[in-house]
Amino acid sequence: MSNIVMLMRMIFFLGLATLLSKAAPVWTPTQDETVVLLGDTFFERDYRQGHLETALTIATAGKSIRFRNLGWSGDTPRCESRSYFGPPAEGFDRLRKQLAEIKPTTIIACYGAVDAFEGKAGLESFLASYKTLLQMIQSSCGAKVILMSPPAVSRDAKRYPALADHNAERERYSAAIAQLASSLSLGFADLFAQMKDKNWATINGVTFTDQDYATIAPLLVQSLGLTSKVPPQQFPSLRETIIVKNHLFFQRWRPQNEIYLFGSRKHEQGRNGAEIPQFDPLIAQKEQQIFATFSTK
Amino acid sequence: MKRSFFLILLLCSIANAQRGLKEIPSTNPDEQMSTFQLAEGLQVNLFASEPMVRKPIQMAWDERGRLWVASSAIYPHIKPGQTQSDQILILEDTDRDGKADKSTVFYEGLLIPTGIWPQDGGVYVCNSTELLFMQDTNGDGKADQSKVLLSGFGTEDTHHIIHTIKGGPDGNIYFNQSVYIHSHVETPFGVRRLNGSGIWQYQPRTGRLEVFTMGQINPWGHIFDDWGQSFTTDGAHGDGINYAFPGATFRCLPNQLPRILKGLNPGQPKHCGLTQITGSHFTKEWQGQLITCDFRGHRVNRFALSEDGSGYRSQQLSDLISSKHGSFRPVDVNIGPDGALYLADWFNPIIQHGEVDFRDSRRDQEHGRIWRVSQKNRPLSTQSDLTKLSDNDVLENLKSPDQSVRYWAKQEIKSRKIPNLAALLTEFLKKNNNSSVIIEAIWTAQTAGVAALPWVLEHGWLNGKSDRMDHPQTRAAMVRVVRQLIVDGGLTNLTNSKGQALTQEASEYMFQQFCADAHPRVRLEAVNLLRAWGSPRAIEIATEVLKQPMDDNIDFALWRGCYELSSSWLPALQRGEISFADNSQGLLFALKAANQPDASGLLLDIVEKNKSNEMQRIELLKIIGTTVDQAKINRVLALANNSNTQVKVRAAALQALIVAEQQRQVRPSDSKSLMPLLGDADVPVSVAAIQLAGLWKIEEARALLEGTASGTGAQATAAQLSIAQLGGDTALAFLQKILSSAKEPANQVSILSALMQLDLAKASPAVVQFLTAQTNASNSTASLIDGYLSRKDGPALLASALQGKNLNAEVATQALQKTSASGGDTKALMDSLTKAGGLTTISELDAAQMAQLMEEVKQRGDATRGESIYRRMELQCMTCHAIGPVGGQMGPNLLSIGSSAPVDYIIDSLLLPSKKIKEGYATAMIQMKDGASHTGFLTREDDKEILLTDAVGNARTLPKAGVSKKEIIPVSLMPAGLTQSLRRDELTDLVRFLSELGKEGDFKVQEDGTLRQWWVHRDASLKAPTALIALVSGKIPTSEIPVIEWQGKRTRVADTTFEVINDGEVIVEITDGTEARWEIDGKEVFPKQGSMSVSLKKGNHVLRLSLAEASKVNPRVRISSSNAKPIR
Repeated sequence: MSNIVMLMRMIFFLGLATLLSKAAPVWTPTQDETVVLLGDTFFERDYRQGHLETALTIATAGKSIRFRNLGWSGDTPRCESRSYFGPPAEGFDRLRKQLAEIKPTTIIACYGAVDAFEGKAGLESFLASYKTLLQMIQSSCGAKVILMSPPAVSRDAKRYPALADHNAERERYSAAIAQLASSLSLGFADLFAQMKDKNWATINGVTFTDQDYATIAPLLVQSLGLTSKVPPQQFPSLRETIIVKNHLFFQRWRPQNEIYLFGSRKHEQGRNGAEIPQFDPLIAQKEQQIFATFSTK
Repeated sequence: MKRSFFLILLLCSIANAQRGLKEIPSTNPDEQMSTFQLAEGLQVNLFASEPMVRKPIQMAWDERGRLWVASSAIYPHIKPGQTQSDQILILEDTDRDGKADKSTVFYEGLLIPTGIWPQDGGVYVCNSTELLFMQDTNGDGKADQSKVLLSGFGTEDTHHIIHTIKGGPDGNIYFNQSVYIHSHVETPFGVRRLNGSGIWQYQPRTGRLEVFTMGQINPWGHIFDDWGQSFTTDGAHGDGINYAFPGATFRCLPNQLPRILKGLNPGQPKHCGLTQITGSHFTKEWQGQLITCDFRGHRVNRFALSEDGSGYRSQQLSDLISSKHGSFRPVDVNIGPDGALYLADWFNPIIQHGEVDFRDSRRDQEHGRIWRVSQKNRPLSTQSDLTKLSDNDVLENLKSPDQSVRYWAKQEIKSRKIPNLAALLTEFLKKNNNSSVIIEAIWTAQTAGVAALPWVLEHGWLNGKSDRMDHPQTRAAMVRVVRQLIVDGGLTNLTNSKGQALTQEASEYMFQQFCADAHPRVRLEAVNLLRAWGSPRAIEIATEVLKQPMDDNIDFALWRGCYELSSSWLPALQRGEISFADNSQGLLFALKAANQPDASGLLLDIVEKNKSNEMQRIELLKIIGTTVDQAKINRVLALANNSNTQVKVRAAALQALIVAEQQRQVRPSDSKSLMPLLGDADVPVSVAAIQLAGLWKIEEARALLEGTASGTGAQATAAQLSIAQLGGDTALAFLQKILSSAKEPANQVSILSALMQLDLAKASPAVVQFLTAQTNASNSTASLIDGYLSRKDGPALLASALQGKNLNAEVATQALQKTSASGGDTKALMDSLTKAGGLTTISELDAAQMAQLMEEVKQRGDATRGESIYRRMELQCMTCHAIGPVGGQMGPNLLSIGSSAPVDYIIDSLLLPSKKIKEGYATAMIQMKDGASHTGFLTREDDKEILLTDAVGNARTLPKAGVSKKEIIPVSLMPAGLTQSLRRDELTDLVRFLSELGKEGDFKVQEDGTLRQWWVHRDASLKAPTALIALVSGKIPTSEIPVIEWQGKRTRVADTTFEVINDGEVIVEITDGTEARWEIDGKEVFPKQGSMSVSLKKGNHVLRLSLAEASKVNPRVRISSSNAKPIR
């Protein structure tokens, strides 16, 4: 099938979806946006799986949207995973600087999975820290923020007894995030609601297999109020290209040897830090390849 | 000649620079092998080399006898656009001739894989931020499935990323991370974070991930012995072998806890990899030896372990292999299925990447070797295919002498998911009841996930009275299994034979039995178990171990529990839920360890009530000072004011008040009741009271203070400072008045210090006048210079006050050294000091000058003369650096600097210390809110305080609340200019000496029981000896021992101390000792040369050497029996 036929079919489906949907979409993507995926392990793993980003790319086809995956394992709105040698505040500042550099127009934030283990007792501090994070985003780049509820966990209580009651906590956090979004007039994407009644294979009860991600991808798109009726299989090399681009971007924003390149041993190897911006043109090149998937030849 | 050789150096014209570093060693395996010197009875052969294998990092054997290798050509850093192409390789020796004949690329596409462990039908791979599990499901020998099990491991430094992965006998998988790594991992039990180094424990069945130990700079080696005890090595901190029990915490940067443990061989080179010789191939005398790789020194070391209380003693033996081949870099070692020893050789003239550029062209990215070392004329071990055996026959393999056979037998049983495995194991144990089989059977149940408490106890403990159970290692291992049950599921995981949870009473009774065990290692495991339980009652029970002898490990384990859990047990104590009953020793231990502000009330109760125990009251007051709050501080002052209190306790109470004021600005409401103490008859009491009068700004005390300040002595010094703290023009006028009449330099300095505190700018003319009048550097000049450097505006003030003034060169050099180590922008001050002192400046060498100097070092440098230069007092090398087990601890140990660092690196480090800073030796600069600034090593940091250690080893605690800014600055604490006074030939010799350290030859430290720490006597009283460290060779530098009149003769006298572990024979070996007289504990001993056997009691003993003035020999003494060790 030629790209043009595919594109027409997609436009048709998109149009249909817009006509059929009752509520306004959570996110109305516009041309040439830069979108940051901000969160914890759930987003981070997608940099190497690519299912979520591929689905989002197809759902926003033709708009040349650049996605930047800033998910970091174990992260919270306090940016606890983003600091290296200092207190969490250092990670918070790191994110502030990165957002100022990347200049996203939209941020899809998915937090709550880590804090939910603190239960009801941790909720207040979670929400307070989330508000602080949102204020920082406002001041650093002014991007529009969409709050996404955390993913559900495995329902297999026999295999994962520690998680037997955990979906209830995720639900509690999801509801609180929805309320936070509404109080701040932000978009809210209820991923948890999309996932909670399904069985997930999972790696360990809380993180997801490649197949899980493939199944989650359209649900996530749907939670944003978008439609992606064209199956990703119709763009066989798209996910591959996205994964290559994501690996390049990962080496750009979270390079190895941080301590030598930019940290306290910069005096020894800091000159090699000059290599890091050299990833930028490589990323841009892959991005052009991604955008070209949807253009006519 | 004025210190100007650097100028000459700059003027040297260099025609033909031959860089020694360009000499890359031969890559031919035969040539490399010919350089190997082997321990007696061993032989070596090449198992595999490129193209079958290249750049091996970790290797591991699977249950089929195949060798898996993690290999990285990308290390140390991926280039922009470079494909992630690192590999997992499988090497096979299909015809069993000791050489690999098949190599398969199992997977290609990784980024610096630093760990590999084949198991569970696949392979676990440490890959940058992730732990992967890869499988070949279609049998074509290549991975077709890969999943991320865990992610979020830090990558701040690619030789620190997760590594050293291996399975434990308990069925858990263990892997390590090094000191710069910060990891954040989501698990079904919540997020797990580890900031800094440590060992992770991972259970794939449940997904549980826990921190097993913390610390160590680069924990690159980890093994389990036959009893499941862990030992580790460290690739950047020279403590040799470390005993790593659950919760053990070692050095980190900064330390993760206020208290840490040390390794078993301080002053050792840095090690990578570790294995223990077990199995049927090696003969009995080799069994149990630990083998690890000194990759810097191109050698493989051996250590012998022996029991020592709850822990172990480790003694170094002669090397297994040593080589002069500059690319021989053994990094991993293990025992193969044939029982031989295998070594992974990273093969590289360049190691790691701190010192040498990522893109240095000398980095080898092509080669790699696996060497096989076996014992001559010995049969090889065999490995059977366990999958073909019946369940019972697999269990028979639990009796194998080969640890790997037993390991795979447990894994095979696990994979079979046998129903009612416990019953099968019980039957097996009826026929096989020695202690090692019992623990293997318990681990089998644990590995398979069916280790229920009653079954474990029945076999591991309850039959403890029978002969087969009378084995402490089994009991210790069993307590560890019970601990794991608690970690996995809390107390409810402890069940009775009906499968119901034990009552709390029954559990506690069991824990008390563990704590009362006759063997200290069982008690250590019990304390670790109770810390894992974590309830207030756990602390109460754990402190019962204090009723029996303690040692460092148990003391640490108990401290860690009391410290970490104080937010739970302390409130419980206050509520009366726990009481420590009659265990007052336990209560005191716990309170001292507690890390809670609430503790002060309880501690004060004890200090006020327990009047008899003076020492205890003083100790507790120290803690009270750091924790007491506003509500209780009046009680501390009342204690100091009470004339019935012991005088030392009164002084301690005042010290506590000083600490409370300085750290947290907490002061009593009735501070004026201090007044009577200012003139107290006891000097420490009155000095402390005078200090407090200043700190608390008691204006009413001014007249009294002025009276005291006009005199001399400790009270006067304190009073001068207190007046400065009271402040104002009156204080300035008063201090200037007494300065004008002060005669003694010491008195002048103390008044000047007070003036500096009051108004640095106004004090400067007087201070500079004093400094310019000095004719040599002294403690006085040092303290005045420090006064400037400790203030943010100080360097600029001193620089401008020095305009047009002349300083004595020695004073100026001292000031320069202090300034260069202080960090911050001090260029103006450095310039004015250089000018005032008439000194020449150091310039960085350009490439040609560097090449010239390196050539001179190679051609003409004399290492023996270099060592005597190194030992010169004024260079201060030995003050900060150790070479091997003895010497200063401030700077990096120079033990193997020559074999690890290129010559240009050494030269740079001497001339410009800040250009190259070893990891962990960067300087932290802390700005305080009151304007003071402090620099030093960041030894530790937590929510409340920062611990800094300065260039001379003094530790300083700074309250976090008072800190306004903290920076790590790229400045070395090693003062610049130390080598400025050397002639060029002397510098050449010094560099040559340093560049020989650790290489094969005379300058390699032999850690063989040599007595290196001596105390030399300077007068006939023999009461005030000073330290003397032996030469690197172990010989005593006789000429450095002063000659004294002793027993009517002109004699040199030196002592050394050693510890005897158990009553019995000790072998002392003396070289070149015939001219000396030798005494042990005052009794002359013989022979003076060669080996002597002395019968000694357990404890410390003094060996005395006396030599007539005329004698020129340099004797060397070592203790060759494992029953004694040197004391450092």
